Amino acid sequence: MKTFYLKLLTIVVILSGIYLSINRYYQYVQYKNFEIINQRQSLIIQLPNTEYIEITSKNDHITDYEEISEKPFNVITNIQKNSTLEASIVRTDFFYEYAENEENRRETTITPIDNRNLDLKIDSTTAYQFKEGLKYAIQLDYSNKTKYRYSGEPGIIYFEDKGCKVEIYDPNLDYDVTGNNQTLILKRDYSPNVEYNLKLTINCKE
Amino acid sequence: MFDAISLTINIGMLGYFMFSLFTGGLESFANNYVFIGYLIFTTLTLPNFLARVIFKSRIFGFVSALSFLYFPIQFLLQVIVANLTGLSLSEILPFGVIFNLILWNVLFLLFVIGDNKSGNESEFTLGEILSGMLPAIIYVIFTFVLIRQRDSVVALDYLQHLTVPNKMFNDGILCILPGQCSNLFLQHGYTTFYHLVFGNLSTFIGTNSIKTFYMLDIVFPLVVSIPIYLKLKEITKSTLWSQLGVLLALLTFVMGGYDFVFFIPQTFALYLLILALREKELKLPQLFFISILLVSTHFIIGTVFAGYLWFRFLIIRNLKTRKEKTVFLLLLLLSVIFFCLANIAGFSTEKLLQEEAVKVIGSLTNAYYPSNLTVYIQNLGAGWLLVIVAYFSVLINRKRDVEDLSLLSFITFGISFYFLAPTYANKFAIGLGFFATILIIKYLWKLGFKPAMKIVLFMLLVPIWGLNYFVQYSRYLTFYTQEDGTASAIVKEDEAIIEYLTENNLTDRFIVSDPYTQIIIASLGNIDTVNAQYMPLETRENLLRYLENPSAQTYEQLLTSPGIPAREDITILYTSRLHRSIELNDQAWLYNVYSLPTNNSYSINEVGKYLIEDQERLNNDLIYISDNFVLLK
Repeated sequence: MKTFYLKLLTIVVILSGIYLSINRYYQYVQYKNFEIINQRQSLIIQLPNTEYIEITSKNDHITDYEEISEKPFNVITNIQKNSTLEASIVRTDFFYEYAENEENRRETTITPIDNRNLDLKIDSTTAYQFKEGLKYAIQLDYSNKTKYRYSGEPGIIYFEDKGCKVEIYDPNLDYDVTGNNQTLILKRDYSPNVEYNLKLTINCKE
Repeated sequence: MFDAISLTINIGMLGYFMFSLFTGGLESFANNYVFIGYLIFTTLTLPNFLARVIFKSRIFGFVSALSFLYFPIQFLLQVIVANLTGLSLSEILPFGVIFNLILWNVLFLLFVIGDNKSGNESEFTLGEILSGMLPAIIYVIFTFVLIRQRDSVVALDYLQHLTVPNKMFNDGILCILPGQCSNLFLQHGYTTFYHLVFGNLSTFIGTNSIKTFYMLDIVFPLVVSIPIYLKLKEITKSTLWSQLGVLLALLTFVMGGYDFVFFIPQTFALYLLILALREKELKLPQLFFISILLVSTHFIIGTVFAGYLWFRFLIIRNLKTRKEKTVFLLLLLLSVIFFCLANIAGFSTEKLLQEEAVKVIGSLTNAYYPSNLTVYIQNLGAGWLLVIVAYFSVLINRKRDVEDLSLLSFITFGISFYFLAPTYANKFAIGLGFFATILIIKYLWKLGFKPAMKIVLFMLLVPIWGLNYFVQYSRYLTFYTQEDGTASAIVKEDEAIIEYLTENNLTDRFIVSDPYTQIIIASLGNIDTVNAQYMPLETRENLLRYLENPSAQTYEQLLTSPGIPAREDITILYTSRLHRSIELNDQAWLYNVYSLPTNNSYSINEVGKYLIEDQERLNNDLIYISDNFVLLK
């Protein structure tokens, strides 16, 4: 009797295994609306319309829009990525960049969820003196001129270009767009540790 | 029949070689895939025939593992002959390889013919060998048709290890540790035992290195499949279950461990362990010898394997009562939970105790929770579900086989070491494919499925493993995928420098370049470099600083950098990788030892005028080798 139940359990487990394996394979081979490039001193989300979104620590800035305008990662003394050759032995499904200089550290993680969605997490630790109205800002630089629009839904702005629609969800949305219409600036009130948990949804016509 | 098939295949091969000799000449063998494959197969199985024919032991077992010592002994004899005759090792070593080929054929013939007088043993054994290799052939077709590209080299380890037999061959250096021969080994991880076997497959006979690496990835799984099959056959007595086991074991891509995917010291140690495990019970002297062999193959992984054998011998073998075995099984489970939770809580050996090593490397070498959990699970994928079921089946079963406890112990060891997280913890996942597969096959076999159901299971299990293997391997290859889509460590543009180095003897030069170019020229051009791909971070920085601001001061700084021998004249090889780094301000390669830009296509349109001037000051000329290489000589 025990063997019967074990056999039954085994068959159930194997069928579940088939489902999980096919699912994993499908996730790997399916068409993706983006490709992450994590090679130089930035993280790039390449879109199928030949354009890309670049996220680089060098563009982070701290400003009070009056006197102060500092780029904490203008000079980087150490940058690490999980895309180097030997890192293949710790290969995971996310893309990681760590940048630092003497006083400041910044970690960026992009985790693709499926073929349309990805999570972007930025955790920045900097050492500046607090001042009223001081902001920490990161930039999402799009390679083409575009129009960023507020979607009407809380925290979501989007842009459309060459058949791709990119939605950016920031639960604490406070943003600006630069004059050249290429850069989205996401701001936070300054504190020594600033965190961003963004969700990007990318839909492109195949 | 199997005697006849094996003999026919072998005679066919020899006939083909004779034909090739007459049509293409002796040189053609260097690039002949069939010859390279045959050389690898005969070299790796020579110890098996030595064990069977000479030592009258089982063909795949403990003695055949020890018989690998034939290669170091042969090498020592060749060194003695070289000293007595005054000939160089490069003149003598090729004859050793040819001798081995002849010896293999003689032993093979003796195995078949000698046996015919007394019985039918060779017929049976060769039948079993071919049965074991059948699933490996399916595996090879699957891998090399769907995943790998022709002549692709997807393990830099091959290039690194090649420098050792190269030095032995070209410079006549005898070394016990690879670091004595080559400056590519910053830590002593093994003796040159592996390298002597490796040399017999490549350098000593002068076959094309890239083709040899490629064929090695094809032939090694074929060889390994035999003892895996024999082990499973011993347990299940079933050809089908055993063949399924071989296929599943081969279809496990262990990130960092690489079980049967590459022939490197750690996988060689695993192969020796599998051979040793063919013995039902290793006696004390056997245990002693195999431990030495394993440790000398790989100081860390080999020691873990040896420790595992001693653990079997001292602990598992002495578990007699059901209660003892239950406690033991629960302890294994507790260990897994404990080490896993400790890691989640933040414990990590490399973070706490190996700060110095981490500093040299430039970053942590392991993934951390939750990524590390994902990485480990992905090694076996859905196969873990069956491991868990098998574990609980052993736990609730009245009769507990010691073999099951051994298999589960090994898996527990692997998990525990992995979550202890010393540097390169994922190497400790090695062997997972073999031990988990044996456990699963044994469990499934014991359930006694009817033949029709067996076939259905076969049809379901292969896709589970196959899909996971495909994804794992493909993900691994992304790191070797170049901008033109080629998935190989060998970059097309680098061929120019190899060709140049082959035509112009620069072996007396100490070349400084970017780390990736250094590993290429060190292994394929036998050139001394600054620790090749392990070029110290400070030296990388000083090289870049000199190239960006060439002056007497920055040059002096470069000359006194770590890894550059004192009073040595250096020759700088300016590459597209360096040029791109300067032009695009891409300095990621300066911060981590393993940060190696692979692509070398960014054309060097112009070398900076200050660099030219400073090289003139040093009386060096600029030799334009190709669009991607300029030698400052």
